[in-house]
Amino acid sequence: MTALLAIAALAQAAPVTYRGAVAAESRLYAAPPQSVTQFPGPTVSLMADPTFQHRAGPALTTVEPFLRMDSHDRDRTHADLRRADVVASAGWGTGGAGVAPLRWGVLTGGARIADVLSQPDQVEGPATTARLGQPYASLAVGPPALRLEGLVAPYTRSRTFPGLTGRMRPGYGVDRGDPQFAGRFGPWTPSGAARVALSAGPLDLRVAGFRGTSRDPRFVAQLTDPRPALAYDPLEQVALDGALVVGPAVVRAEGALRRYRTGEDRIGSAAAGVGVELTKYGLVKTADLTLLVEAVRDDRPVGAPVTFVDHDVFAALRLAANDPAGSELLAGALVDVVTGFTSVRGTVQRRLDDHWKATVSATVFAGPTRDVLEWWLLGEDHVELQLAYHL
Amino acid sequence: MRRLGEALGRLVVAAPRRVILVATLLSLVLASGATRLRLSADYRMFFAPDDPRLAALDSLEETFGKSDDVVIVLAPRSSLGDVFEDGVLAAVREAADGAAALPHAVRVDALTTHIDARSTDGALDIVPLVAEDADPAALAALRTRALAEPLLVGSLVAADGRATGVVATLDLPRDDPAAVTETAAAARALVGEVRAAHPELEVRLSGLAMMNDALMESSVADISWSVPLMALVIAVGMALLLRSAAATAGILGVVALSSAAALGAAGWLGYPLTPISASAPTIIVTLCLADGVHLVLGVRQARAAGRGAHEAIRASLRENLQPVVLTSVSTMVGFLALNFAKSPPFAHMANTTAVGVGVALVLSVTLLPAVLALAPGREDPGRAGSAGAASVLGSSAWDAFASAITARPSAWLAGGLLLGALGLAAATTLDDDDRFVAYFAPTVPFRADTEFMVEHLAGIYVVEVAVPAGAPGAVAEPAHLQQLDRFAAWLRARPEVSHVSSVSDLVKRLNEGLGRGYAVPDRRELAAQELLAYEMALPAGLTLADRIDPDRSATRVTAVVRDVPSSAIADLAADMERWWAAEGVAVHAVSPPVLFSHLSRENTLAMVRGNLASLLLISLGMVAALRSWRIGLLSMVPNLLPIALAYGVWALFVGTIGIVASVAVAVCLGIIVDDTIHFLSRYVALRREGLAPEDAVRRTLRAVGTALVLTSVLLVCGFGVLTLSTFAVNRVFGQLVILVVGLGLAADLVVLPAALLVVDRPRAAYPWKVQMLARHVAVALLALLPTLAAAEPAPPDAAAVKQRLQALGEGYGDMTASVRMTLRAANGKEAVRDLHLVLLEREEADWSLIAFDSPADVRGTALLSHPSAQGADQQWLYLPALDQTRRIGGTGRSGAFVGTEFSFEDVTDLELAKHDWTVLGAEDCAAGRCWALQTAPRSGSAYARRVVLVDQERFLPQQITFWDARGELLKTLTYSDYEHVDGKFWRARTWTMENAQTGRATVLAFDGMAFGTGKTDADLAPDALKRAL
Repeated sequence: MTALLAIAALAQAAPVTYRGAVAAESRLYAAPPQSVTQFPGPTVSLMADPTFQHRAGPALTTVEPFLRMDSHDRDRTHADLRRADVVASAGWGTGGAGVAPLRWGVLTGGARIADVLSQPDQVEGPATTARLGQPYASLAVGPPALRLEGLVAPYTRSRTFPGLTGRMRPGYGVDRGDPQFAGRFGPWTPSGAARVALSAGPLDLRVAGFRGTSRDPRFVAQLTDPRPALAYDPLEQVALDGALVVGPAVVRAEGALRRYRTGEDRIGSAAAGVGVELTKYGLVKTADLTLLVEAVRDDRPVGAPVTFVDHDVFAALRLAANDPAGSELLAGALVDVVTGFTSVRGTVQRRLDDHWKATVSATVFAGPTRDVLEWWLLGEDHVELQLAYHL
Repeated sequence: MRRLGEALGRLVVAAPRRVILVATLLSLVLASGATRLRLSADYRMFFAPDDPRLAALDSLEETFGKSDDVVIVLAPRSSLGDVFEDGVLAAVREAADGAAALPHAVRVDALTTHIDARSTDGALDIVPLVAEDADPAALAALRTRALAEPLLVGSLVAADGRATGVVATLDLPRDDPAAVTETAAAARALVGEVRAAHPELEVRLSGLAMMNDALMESSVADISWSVPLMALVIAVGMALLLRSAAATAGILGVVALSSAAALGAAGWLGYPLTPISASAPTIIVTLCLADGVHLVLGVRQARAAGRGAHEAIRASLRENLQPVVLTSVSTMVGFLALNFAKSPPFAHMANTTAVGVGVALVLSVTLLPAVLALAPGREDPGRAGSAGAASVLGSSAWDAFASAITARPSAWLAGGLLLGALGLAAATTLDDDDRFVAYFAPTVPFRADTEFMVEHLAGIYVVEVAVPAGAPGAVAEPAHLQQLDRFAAWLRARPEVSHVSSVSDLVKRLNEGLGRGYAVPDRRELAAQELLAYEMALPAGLTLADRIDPDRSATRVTAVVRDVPSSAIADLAADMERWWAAEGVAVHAVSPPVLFSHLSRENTLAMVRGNLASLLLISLGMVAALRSWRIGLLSMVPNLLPIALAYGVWALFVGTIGIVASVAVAVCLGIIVDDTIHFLSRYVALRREGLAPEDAVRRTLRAVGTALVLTSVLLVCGFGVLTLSTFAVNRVFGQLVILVVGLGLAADLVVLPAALLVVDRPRAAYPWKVQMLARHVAVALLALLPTLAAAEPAPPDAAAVKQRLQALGEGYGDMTASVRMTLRAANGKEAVRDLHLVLLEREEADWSLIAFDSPADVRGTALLSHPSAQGADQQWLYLPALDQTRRIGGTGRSGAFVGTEFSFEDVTDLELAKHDWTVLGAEDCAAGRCWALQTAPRSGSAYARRVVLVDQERFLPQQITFWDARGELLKTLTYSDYEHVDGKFWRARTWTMENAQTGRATVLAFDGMAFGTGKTDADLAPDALKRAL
């Protein structure tokens, strides 16, 4: 409702620009589900993700509602306000407030090292890049070359997961009903972050501090329910991320030192990741080829929230034909070098006309044994078809 | 890099003594850490502290005691007797007494200490199996009883009665390597005494403690003789091949200091010295030679070309610094990939070697040239051409060699690839098993003794499980004992198992002693009482604590395994766990050999991943360093081919390979990639000088061929030393590396040049007749030019035109516009894209922001460019789907701009200052008469030249033609619909780019151009991209 009111208000003021898409999707699985509660057949879903923007002088207002309706997973049928914020910029800096999917960090392979502000919308898929809207207020001051940024996030969203009937759900499912927030005011315990961002020639470098509630949950076993509950602990983190252009390559790196507080225990943890991206323009005629390799090590001691990207290498390539149809081939593999668990995804997409676009992707999960954290993904190989209408 | 090489050269020749002093002192400071190195004999070093199997083994040993033992095997030499004779039993008694006195011994098991349970007049009689003074009849009864006792057969007595064992269980302190040495020495002394007293007996010594001791001895032997021997081999080899005392001394100084510094670094890092990490100095010595040899030969070649001594050193550094840096970095990458191995000693060896290679890089470009600068007379020009290394293969020999390659490059390449494919196919048959005892050479007494034990008595390996009974005291439950009995029977049926030790056998024997038959008691109380009675009857020093835990809630079952491959041990352990899982009981089957079996299997997998990552990084590094995708990727051929071939040969002649295989790949990659880099660096440089591929190959072989052969010979000699090691991991490692280096040299000298000749060709070379015709036409046109020019006003000065064009683009502050982009395919089909553009005038080069409005799926995508007149452009891309701004590589200037016929170079600043301008003359154009000017880029352009037509009246550009590196017309850009915006700025509203080679075209139609809108740096900053919609 808030979103609709905001849109209506923006429409009154006009001009409003917009983008986004509505899409129909279907997932076809190669094998029957591991649990009888999961729906065995293909699933169909509808998605709408429009974005509206309105500029008034230095202020830019953006509203981005999100809606997903899934044929068989009630938890995947959900709506969210991805963004509803006002950002004003002047020569000396930029300030913003509202709700937004805040992203820090530079790595793309799914690692959550510097990226601690927003909650992944995990019900969208195990490797989703979607983020739930995060309430915030921020202020960044200084010239583009050296920015100081402060941010307050007054509320912590709980992570979404597929429901009992949904595929690719962790273990026996997750009890999302009553997540435990260790902070004094529960989910309303505010988090704060500060960042110094330096941009000098080929180098972007950011040092950030975060103190608040971890967005990564801990899974807590329950006596009355086989599904684990979610617990969010206080987190203090100092992170560094940066990108350096070296000839045709871009080197990206992130590192973080963290301390979780679980009850009386303080659990230290460190993580680092580095990646290289290389693009060859005009590989064949107009086609560009991008190669990406990232390695991540994210040590999470016992008692700390788990992450599925902990000792992983991510390799990907993107072949963009740059033809009028915008044809693209994406292929990526994420390999856990410790357990051997591997997920491979290949995607082909092509524009059908100025508004319609078709995407076909195939995902395969493999592991040497089922004794891995991601065992519930083994056997969930699937093909995903998407037909999207872009506004 | 050349400038850095020149600067280094100047520094070194200016103050060679100071350079030597500083480099030596710094290396020695690092090397001082070597005093902190400590030998480790604990096999636990091979596992990460958090290894779950190690934790399970620790738990088992904590409950039941350790598995470390010393086994003394006794067997009559005579083929007629067996161990059930007075003399032999006396020897067993002596050995058992001696074993009990061994340091750290906590328990001794032997025929003479075994306590038997028998029925005497219907009552349970628990007595020693061997009586003190047995008569022949008693000995015959003993033979019968012992050979029927499952608790003894295959463990303390052979099934045929011809060998027996004395097993001393040890409680060795883990943090004291001297304890193993001390115990092993005492055991050897004991065995010596028994042998002396009983020459009629074959007495052998084995057990896990002896294995640990043998491991440590191998480490000490490797480090104490292999490095000095290698230094000697290399010194002699270099002296023979280089025939220069200064060069030999300089290179030896570099390798000695590098090895010492690496060992010091290992000490500072707290690494223990293990048989694996002990090989690091050997490898460093070998690897560091190549850099030195290339630099020395570079100096020789420069002197042969008539340069002075110091100038030659500078020239060599200038030419060789890049390949030397590249080879060192790639070698370090190869070794650092070993950190993917889960076993710490492999990571320690890798990191130590990587430090050594890094130090060697620094010393090779400082210390070595400084030594050469101090003794210039020894490197006189005459030697370069007539003696020493260059005479190994003279220029004419290399030319003949090159001719053979260039004559039929396709055949050489096809042959090489075919051999590689065959090698790869053969390599897939390799069995990845390890045999731990076979790690040691047959000459090592431990191996011979252990093989004797396995053949005559029992296996060396054990696999154990702690089976929970469910509750305190429940080990006596009949159901649990029956489970154990079934499990023991299942184990005994497996061919690889030589003996099973289970409490169920003891209980059955005790039950039989009570006259209730050889079976598990049917009541818990009865079994408990039998066990209690037995334990109470045991003499001091013997208990059941090694079989049953203190609260009687779990028992230990041990399977002794014959000398089988590591995979069979791992499979047995897995099967044992599965057997219990099927019974609903979770157990871990563990023992040191099980841990090593998994280590072998898992490390191989981890290393394969590491090797792939390393190969990818090395190849990407080559692509970046050589600035050529084709040649960079081509480098993978000579790098992978020898590895595939070597493993194929190994598969055919040896068949099995263990953990060392994966390690060797990583090391080989680092080594053989050096040769490839040296070859390709020189080849690419020559090609960029304009040489044809054939000439470039010939000159490259002449320049670097000798150095490649020399370094390969020295590498083979160096790793040849490793093949003499008594530790098989190091021995096989040396053999494999020699094989790969030899094949790598062949690949670099034959297959790589052949591949370059096949692949590195102009894509569509015109026949020479066409080229000649074009040349004649051009000459004719040039002859006509003066005639045509006569009717024109005097042509302007090129600098003046450049200035006027520059002025057109200045003073506007900022500009915004909407652009409709029409892409027209060769078949006339069109696609339209809309975008808006913001330009910000900057002193150096103007910034631009391009945001897409259509097609709908890319709406909001924005590209920000901050071009640089001097260095690389900085670019950021905002993708709305990810809501993230990302930096993108800035040197794709020649690539198509979002699929149009424009390249990034065409749409960013004209960069007039980066071109040399020449006025060609006048010609007709759409605006009437135009001046034609040629602009030739000084560097960093995809075009060989451009011809710009500016109208003679207003000096506005009307057309630009772009010519590619082959001299062919590539594209034509036409400017039309000029508008005098705000009465100040002339801007063309329509840009039409037509590609003459593909038939495609792109039209940009500008609309709503506005100047001076107040945009600032903040509006064209990366943060602003997401607000660009």
